[in-house]
Amino acid sequence: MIVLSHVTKRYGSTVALHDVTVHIREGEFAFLVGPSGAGKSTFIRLLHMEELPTEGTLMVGGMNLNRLPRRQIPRLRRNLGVVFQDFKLLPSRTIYDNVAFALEVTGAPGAYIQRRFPAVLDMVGLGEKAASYPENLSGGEQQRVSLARAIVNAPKVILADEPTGNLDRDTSWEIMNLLLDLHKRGATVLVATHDWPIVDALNRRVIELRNGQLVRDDARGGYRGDVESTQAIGR
Amino acid sequence: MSQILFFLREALRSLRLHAAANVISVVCISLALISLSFIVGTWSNLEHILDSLRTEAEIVVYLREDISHDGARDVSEVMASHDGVLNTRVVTPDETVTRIENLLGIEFDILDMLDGYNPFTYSIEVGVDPVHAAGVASFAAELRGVDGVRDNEQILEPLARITTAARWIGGVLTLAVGAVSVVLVSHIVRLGIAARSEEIETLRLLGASEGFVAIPFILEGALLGALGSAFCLALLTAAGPSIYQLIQSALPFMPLLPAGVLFGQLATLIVGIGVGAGIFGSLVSVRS
Repeated sequence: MIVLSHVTKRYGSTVALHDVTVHIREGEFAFLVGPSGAGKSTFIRLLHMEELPTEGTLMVGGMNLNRLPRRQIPRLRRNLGVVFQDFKLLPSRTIYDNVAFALEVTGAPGAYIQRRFPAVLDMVGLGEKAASYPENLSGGEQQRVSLARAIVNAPKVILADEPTGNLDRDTSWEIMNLLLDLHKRGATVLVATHDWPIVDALNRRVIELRNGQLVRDDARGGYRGDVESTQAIGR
Repeated sequence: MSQILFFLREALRSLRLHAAANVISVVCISLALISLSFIVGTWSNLEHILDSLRTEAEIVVYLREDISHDGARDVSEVMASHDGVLNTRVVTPDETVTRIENLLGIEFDILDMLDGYNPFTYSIEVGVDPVHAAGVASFAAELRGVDGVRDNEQILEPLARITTAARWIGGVLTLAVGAVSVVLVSHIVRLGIAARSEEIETLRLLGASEGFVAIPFILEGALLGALGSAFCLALLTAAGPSIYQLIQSALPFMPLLPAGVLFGQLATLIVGIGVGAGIFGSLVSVRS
């Protein structure tokens, strides 16, 4: 579902990712871990073409991103659900508008949007907040809206960049449980995080980056590689 | 349908974002369109007058005194076969006298001084295609039995020059008004794009195509142009007919365009230029 083959990304003389090779299969749930500046966000941004690789090959959902024409980028993005680190909610829009936007861009009919919206908002536990504005919501609620927007198109791949950053423990678990629930429904989920208690507790596949380099790819593991570690690099 | 409504909603939202600047733009576009209306109205009427005169373009060929009715008919037939001649008609000396009597009205007694003598000769009225008028006149002057030729080039030529000048001024002004509207609209739309740059970026990340992002801004430009046109049309509808009636009263002998025709043409032009400049202006901003 997601393939990076010898991917390097440079910003001038700064190397954000260096020769990274990773293969995430359809239906997998994986954590992407590492300290700040390790290259996690760059990794995620490359997958939805917010950035282009300097070298190497990228494939997502069968699409070769190296050869994807510019006009096809929207089609790729519509097939991905992305939860952004800074939420990227539109402050002057209601929660309904924020979530409905993701459907509007696909050209979904109004009736479908009206039908789909309550179901998704209920799923993230914000059924009563449709008319609220982001500034009236807590950080956790805003992250749920961001998640609702990411999943409203029922994407097969969900990319979450620090979805629990700046959230309290309980809220972080609520968000993570939602992602696990989506995974159970068949989505491929990649979560970039440095929330070690959650990574340790869930004991899932862990891909670790340091200084832009892949240093670990465990089929199951903890944040620091000390939970039932199985080397998976080069699979 | 829902997408059209969505785009319209977004365009209106953008308009509300800079309400004061938008109102000023609409007023400026209207004023530019009104000045254009005056010039184009003048130009259209000059064209109309010229066309009216051209359809009446006529050459009168005066024959020598010794030319009889048969001779006049021969000249008439020769004239009729020439390029650009639409019709010919022989005018007898008696008919000329009758016309003069009608022209003189109560003063026709003056003809009694001629004591029954008719000094007029046969003449031929030649209807011509204005393009060929000069050629026909030269041809007629060379024919045997022709004493003189009179045409209405003296009137048509200066009028044609004025009309050409008005056409140029109208064309330049149309371009100027279009350019002013384009600059105004593109500036306003650019403001909207700058104010919503973060939102645009988010939309792109959600999978919005360039077209999806651009359409509301293009609609915004079209709406600005349409509002400018509507304001101009409202002013024109309120004051235009009365002003035009005054002009018509002041120039009773001028074949001016009927008010309905003139204002219909102006309305089409105003809406076309207003909306067209709006769309073009927003396209300029969106592309840049």
